[in-house]
Amino acid sequence: MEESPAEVMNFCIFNTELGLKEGLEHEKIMYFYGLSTQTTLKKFTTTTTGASNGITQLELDGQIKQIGLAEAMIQFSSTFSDDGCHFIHTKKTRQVIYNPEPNYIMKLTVSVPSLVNPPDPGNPFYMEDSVQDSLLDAIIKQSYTFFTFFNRSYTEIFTQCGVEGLKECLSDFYDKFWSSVSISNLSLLNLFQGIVFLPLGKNPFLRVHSFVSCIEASFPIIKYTVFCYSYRMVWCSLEQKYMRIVYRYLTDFLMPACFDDSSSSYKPKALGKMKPSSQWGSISGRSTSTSIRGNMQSGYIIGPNNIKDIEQHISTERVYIMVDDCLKTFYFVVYHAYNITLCLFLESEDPPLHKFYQQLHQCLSAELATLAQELNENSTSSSSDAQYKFLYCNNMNLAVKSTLHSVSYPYEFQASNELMRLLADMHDDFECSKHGEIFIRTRDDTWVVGRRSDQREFFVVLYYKNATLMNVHEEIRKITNEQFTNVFFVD
Amino acid sequence: MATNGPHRSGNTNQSSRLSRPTRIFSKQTSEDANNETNNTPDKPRTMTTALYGRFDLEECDEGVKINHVWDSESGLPTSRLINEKRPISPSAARRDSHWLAQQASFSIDPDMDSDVALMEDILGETQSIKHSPDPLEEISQERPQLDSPNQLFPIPTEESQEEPITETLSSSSNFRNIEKELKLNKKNVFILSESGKPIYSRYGDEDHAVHLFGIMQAFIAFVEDNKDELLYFSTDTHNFVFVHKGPLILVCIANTYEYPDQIRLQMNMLYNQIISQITNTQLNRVFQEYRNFDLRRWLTDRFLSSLIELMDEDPSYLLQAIRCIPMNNTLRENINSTIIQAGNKNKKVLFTLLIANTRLIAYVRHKSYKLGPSDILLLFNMVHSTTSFKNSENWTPVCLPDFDNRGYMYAHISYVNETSAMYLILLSTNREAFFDLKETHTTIVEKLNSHGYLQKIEKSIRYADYTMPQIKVPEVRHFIFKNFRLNQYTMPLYGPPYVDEKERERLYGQYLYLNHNLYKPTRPAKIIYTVGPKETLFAWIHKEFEWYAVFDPLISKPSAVDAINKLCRWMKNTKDELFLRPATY
Repeated sequence: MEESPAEVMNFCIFNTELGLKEGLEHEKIMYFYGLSTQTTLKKFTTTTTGASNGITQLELDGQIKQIGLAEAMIQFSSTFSDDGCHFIHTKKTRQVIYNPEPNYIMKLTVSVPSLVNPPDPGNPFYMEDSVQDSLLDAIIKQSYTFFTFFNRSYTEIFTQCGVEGLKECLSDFYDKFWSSVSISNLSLLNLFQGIVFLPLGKNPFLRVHSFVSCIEASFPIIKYTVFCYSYRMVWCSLEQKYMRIVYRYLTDFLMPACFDDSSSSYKPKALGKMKPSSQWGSISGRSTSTSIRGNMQSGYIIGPNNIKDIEQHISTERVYIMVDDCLKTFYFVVYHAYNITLCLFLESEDPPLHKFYQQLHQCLSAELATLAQELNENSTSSSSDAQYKFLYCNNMNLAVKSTLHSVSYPYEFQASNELMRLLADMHDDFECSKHGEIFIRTRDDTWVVGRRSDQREFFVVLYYKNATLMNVHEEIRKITNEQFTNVFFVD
Repeated sequence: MATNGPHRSGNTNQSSRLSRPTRIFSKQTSEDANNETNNTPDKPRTMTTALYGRFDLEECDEGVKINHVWDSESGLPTSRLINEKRPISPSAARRDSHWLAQQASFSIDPDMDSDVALMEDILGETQSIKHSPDPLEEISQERPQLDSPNQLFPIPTEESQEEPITETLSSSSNFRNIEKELKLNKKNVFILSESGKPIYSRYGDEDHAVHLFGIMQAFIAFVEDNKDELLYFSTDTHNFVFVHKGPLILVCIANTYEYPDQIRLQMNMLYNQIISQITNTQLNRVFQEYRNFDLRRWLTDRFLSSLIELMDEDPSYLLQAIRCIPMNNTLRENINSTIIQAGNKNKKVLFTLLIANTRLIAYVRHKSYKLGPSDILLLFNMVHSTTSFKNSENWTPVCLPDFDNRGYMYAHISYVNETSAMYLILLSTNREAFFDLKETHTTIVEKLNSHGYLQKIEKSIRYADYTMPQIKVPEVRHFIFKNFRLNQYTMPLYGPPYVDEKERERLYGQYLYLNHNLYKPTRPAKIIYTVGPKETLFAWIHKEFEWYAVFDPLISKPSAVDAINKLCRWMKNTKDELFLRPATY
């Protein structure tokens, strides 16, 4: 039995207001990403005449068909329901439709994993429930949030830069986004979009705090700072909404792209307009292969490649943040040293000069070494080989704590895929049915327990053979006492 | 005799029969080609009136005429949709997607005329749209006398299936009205042919929603063009489930607690219901020969509607299990031996079922044949939806898809007496066995009566329902217990707080949720225990049973476990009363 994994088949964004005339339907297509036609498509999406360039008529027809079907289903479903069609299930594919802005519709198509049975290879078994709607919904929404963070909304770009400008932006961003996403690696964490905080004592925390204040004071151009230590959040002066975006961007895309050991099957890519500096490896040239695991390296991930090279052109990254109901642009710089990742948001009309980068580098490299040492001593890694694994999430402060996922890249599940999916199912149940507690014993006798009180959710996987409901109940009580002494759970 | 059974006989030379309207029984029985004899003249009255009384050729001609007028005057997609297999050229694909999008926007587009014009435009381009009166007319003429078993029922004439077609479809207000209506319904069901021809709509006249049928067919065709299969799509509130089975497309649009896989199961039941009227073989054949065939006149909508209604709330269909009347084991044995004795006399009865409403009292089967629960449920539904069975003795062909979807069985259905809710179904494969089965029926009823069993059964029926306090497990509010081996289930009456319909519906939704989780294909659960704001739920699947129970939301786990154990003991002690074991001839 061979299992083929779920993969992104295609993704498109179309504008329902354009291409209304028969024969001009291709004008609707703002962006189309497809596995097989990716290279040729790029040409198409960036040219004005569209149909005649780069892409064959057949491919274009395929795209138009996709869009036509989605539009038809949206219209048809509005006959019966107040909202439009959201998910489409076919035997071999799953499609999710998201309408983020008026007239703009995003559609993602994912292949459904199949099991090929050797005696009958022509008739594979499609595991429909292995692809979860809520996870796809989460990823398509995340793609949009990231896009607006780096580029503003579709409508704004459309009004300012026209159709072609928008197409260019979309293709720059989404080409990288979808080639970085691995559908089979999506899990409950993608639903929560949570943040793993680094638990710290008073003193080291104050050290970080004073360090950040010191940097911000020495360089007034720095408006916001995000401080992470080994994939965990320590300090963030951004609003929660943006903290989440920045953290997910760092951990899901930027850091994996830099520190990929190629042990994983997919190659993540950093998003945004520019690639991370080449010295970090994987994207532009793997030859450097500076595995940061050694973490003795320091330098800019987003910023100048080589700090000593004054002549070098520094490409910059801009982000859009809502400050006091007003969208402002910031220059976005990421610096990494000794397992510490610093994201800096610069408020300035012009791109920062080379001098600034140099000064900042000097200041940071001196300070971070000692700080990292201190943090390393303080962060306790509690790797217990207990007979249970858990995941805790607080939706109020977005805090996530999990022994079901490895914290750093590559993110591997510490439980079977089926169990991970079961946890996501439970989360969906909590969302729609208001259940407070779910105990499930799977067919292979693993107990999975989910609990929700208020905004907090807690999941445990227990590998006790022959445990009864009462045993499990007792065990959960013990675990909560052990791990969450100060968290209130309704019993 | 056994070799004479319809489902075992070869289906050769079927098509030639189609064109012979005079041969009344030949199509239903699909007996071997040489059997040219007509049915015997001394058939029971109810059957003969049904056969000869209602349908004569004039009526048929009229039917065809109406059909034809409807086609040519409205010019609506019936004909367009014939050509489902046309090759799709790239430009045609673009046009199609445009067409599809336009069609789907009917509901909100006020400018109806232009859309109709567009549709006609497209119709004009496709080759097979010409209103060909030939095959359709031919088959419609002979149809009433041939294959439709339901017409053998003594149906009062006012229940005629001929639908007067009074309005043409060009008025846009019609569309809007029907769409307003459709939105209000919790669960719409549509059945259409592969070519998009309307067959059934749960609400309203399917002719008024003909544009929707066209779109549904197009969805299926679009997805199948990519060698894929459309399963369902969903909005935040509704599921749109598509089942393409044989030459039929079944669509359910539901805003209910049901999960798409559960709706799929229901659609398969509906398909089986259709098969039970015309057999799979005939269904496939007629659509192979006449793609644009109008199946409506062969079907009884009433069966489908009643089945949908039953499936909405009866757990039998979800569990694919039968519910019995609990009774004393000795009484059951006595009934069984009475039935066996009577059946052994003429040896023509394959199955005997004694039923009250939709609950089984006794079931005796031939030792080498078995009826699946889904077939029994179809029989229940047939009787449940036909009030006229009450007043007469009935002899009807019925196809039981699970048993054999190729041919008919013959059912003798008759109530034991005028006042009772109890009826006997005797099934035989011999279509000439009416008198034998009638005799068996009479013998069984007489014996049951003379031994006083009938009164005892009546008493059991009166006390068939039990409540939770009665069985002294008050912690459990309600439960459903299914025995896998016997494919039977039992459940108590709905007590408080599930007395009003809304709450009961919600509770059923919880059972659906548990069932869905027990049967997830790649991650099925064994035990589920869920604490919700309104109740605590419990489900347990074991190799012998499947169990759902509902408790108070605040019950502690020890007392819940305790209650489950108590219930287990009760179940063990009373299982012989609750479940019946089929006896064999």
